[in-house]
Amino acid sequence: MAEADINSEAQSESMPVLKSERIYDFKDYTVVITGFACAAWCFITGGTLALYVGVQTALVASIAGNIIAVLLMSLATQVISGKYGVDAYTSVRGVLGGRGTKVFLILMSIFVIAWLIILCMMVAKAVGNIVLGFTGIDITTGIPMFIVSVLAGAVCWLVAWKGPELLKKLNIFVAPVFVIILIFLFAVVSMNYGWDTVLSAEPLAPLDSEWLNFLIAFELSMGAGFSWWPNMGGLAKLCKTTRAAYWPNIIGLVFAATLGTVMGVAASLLVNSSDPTAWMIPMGGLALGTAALVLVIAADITACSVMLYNLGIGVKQVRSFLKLSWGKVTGLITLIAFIGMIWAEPLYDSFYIILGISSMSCAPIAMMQLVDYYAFRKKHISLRDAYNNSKSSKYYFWGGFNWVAIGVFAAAIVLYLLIFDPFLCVPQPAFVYCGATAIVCVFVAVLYYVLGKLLLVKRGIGGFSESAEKVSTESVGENNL
Amino acid sequence: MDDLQQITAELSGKTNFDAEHEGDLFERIAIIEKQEAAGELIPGLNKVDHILIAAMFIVLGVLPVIWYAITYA
Repeated sequence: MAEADINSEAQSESMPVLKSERIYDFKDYTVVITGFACAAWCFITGGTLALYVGVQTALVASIAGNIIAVLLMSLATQVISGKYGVDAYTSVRGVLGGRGTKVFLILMSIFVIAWLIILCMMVAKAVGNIVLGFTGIDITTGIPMFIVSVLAGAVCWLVAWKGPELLKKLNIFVAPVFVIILIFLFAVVSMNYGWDTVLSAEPLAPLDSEWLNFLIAFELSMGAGFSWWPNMGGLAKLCKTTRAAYWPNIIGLVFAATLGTVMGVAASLLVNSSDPTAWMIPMGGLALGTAALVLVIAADITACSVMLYNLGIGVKQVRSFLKLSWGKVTGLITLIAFIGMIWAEPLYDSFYIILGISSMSCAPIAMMQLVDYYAFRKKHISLRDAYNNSKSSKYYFWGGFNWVAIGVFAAAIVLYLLIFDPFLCVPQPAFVYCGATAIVCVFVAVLYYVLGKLLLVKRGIGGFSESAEKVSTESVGENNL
Repeated sequence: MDDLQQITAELSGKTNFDAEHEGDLFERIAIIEKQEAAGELIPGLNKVDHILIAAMFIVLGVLPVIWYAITYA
């Protein structure tokens, strides 16, 4: 692809979208977000929830956790992005500062790379299960899996590097494929097992306490809900109304995703494995199961390539990457993913790490954005300052960083880790009261409100015009005296 | 000086965009600012939306957790 084109696209992607250019009404966005939500991640999340809870509890926990996260997160990202036509990283500059936002973008890039690693490993596991089904040779662990996942990563890189137009077309194909797989799972569960068997199936590795099992499922579902934060603004800015940018998220990210997740829980419980690629052949037989796995491979490669492409576009918006060729930018990301693939198997088997880290990083940002936009800025952001990277920007804060927000973010991470260990999925004693993310959300909102009022709003730092005017009036008064 | 000229003078060379795209960016910012000042920008959610959000938050988010807490904790 021509460098001029990709650089042009990278810059066009970060432009504010005007009212007259919006393409999604309520129905269009519902279709888009539902297709986006019903993908491989639903099955992996379902497989993880099945470790702790059965189908009924998973259904309740998934809806409760996702709805709290999506309602709160969308109030921040969707409303701002829908109103001003900007993506999440532009809208959050008033919270983190210009440079702070870039650092957060890098953090989120690592998070996306972790997703790439997981999807490539899922492709490798699917290939391994097909080989196992046909030849009886088990290559589903160790070096063969590493090699196949690296090959899958290389294919994704080639697709992202060479074919953005093809990618956009492939993107349309992902959603129907997962609907087919969902229907396949539903039909197989209904005909071969029956829903009575599913409803009475026990979780795979539950803790002793029913309450803790529910809370962990609720916690991980909140993580799944908040994990959408980086992607949401880019879609909301294409919506014709704020309602069209807000409510379809509940339909897609909460209810449709829960449907996929619950199907994942059901399949996990029946096959006694949390790995989605291990479900298909035992459930549907060799022929149908292989066909389903081929669909999983195709959809994962497409989703992975789209993620790589979008991440490349995002990274290209940073000036130093603008000079690098498109092949090098996407190649660099893929290379980092290759290194990460050394740990792909444990990461794939411990998917809860991703959900925990999502909650830990995205929930504090969403809550600070809520406080900032509704309480401090009175539903107004300055686009001039959001796009201004120099010291003259009101969103420059201190050296390009809003240290108040960064301090609250750091405190929130410490608090989260004190309540819940996302790396081992081990709840600490305080977890029993209401999980970690719910407490962190309240903590962040209160702390950022108090510190923000004292250190930002009252001092007029960060573009709080009313307070700035008040401060300048006071100083003029003092000078006159 | 009109809005566009003012934005150009204020932001030129300070964005991550090249010269070709900066012009387009400044035009867009000027249009959005004008629409916002005139109250013609896409409005946010209204009272009914906020009531629905609160209701869903409580009924589908908080109450199930309380119910499980009472039943199993």
